[in-house]
Amino acid sequence: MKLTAEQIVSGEDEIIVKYREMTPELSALIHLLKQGMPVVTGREEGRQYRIAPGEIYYFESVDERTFAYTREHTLQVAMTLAEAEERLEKYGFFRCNKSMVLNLNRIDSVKNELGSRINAALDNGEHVIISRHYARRFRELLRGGEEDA
Amino acid sequence: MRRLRKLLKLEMDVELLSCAHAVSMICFYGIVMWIAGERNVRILVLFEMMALGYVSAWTQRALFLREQVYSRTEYAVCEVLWNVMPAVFVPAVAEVFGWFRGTPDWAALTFYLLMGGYYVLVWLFLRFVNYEETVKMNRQLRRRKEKGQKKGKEQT
Repeated sequence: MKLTAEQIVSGEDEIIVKYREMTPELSALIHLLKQGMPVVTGREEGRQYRIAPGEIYYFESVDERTFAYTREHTLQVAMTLAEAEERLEKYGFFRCNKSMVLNLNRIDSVKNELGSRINAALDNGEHVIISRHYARRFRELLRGGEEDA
Repeated sequence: MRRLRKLLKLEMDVELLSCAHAVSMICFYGIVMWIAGERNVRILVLFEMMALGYVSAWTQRALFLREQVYSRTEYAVCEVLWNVMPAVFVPAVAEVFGWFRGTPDWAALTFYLLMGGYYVLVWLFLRFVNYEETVKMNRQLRRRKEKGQKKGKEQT
């Protein structure tokens, strides 16, 4: 089987499987790809969406409901912040304050402020506060990246 | 329990700052009084200074307790208040408790100016530390992202 990987400058990441005949081997591979890609399901205005964790900027808890924010959507999801943090930790999600779980990979830059707060600028232009209480964990996450490099 | 732990950590932060404020006040007060010819300082004044240091530190901390983003103006106002409020507390408390009773006017004025300067210096120091930390964290963030991209390429 021929395998081609191509880097693109713009557009969405995409996997195309071309086959003459669907074999059990291919079927298993497609299943693995689908399984390996965790999806977050959420609702917005009565419609259900399935999105990859990488698209989510942060989860926020408002009036005991949890919302996931992407560039285009604000989805109500059926999990708590603690669950989101636990399930998506390996995708760079961490608790940044008592009402938010933030995607570290969506942070564009950070600024240390008075009161040991960290102001995180996201790549969509929004700003989120990493509170003093969670700043330590955030620094550990960053240090991890530096040590492994 | 978690809330109590959070509060204790906050309290430790405040007390560290409050100690710095109290020690500075006591030192400046001692020097000014010594120059003014006073050889004795009432112990009650020292306690009042410690209490003022604690109140000032809490006030400064409270300005940045909110877990939401401050607008540029809000942040600037809080920074000004961070400097001005404790600097106003000092003469107010000194007048109420008579820290400079029976001493020349210049002694009180010098002390107030010294304390005002001290708060500005602490603020500048914290700004510098925050700037250094910001540079370091952004470097770490960049490296982490580069590492993630490298990992992604290796997987393909």
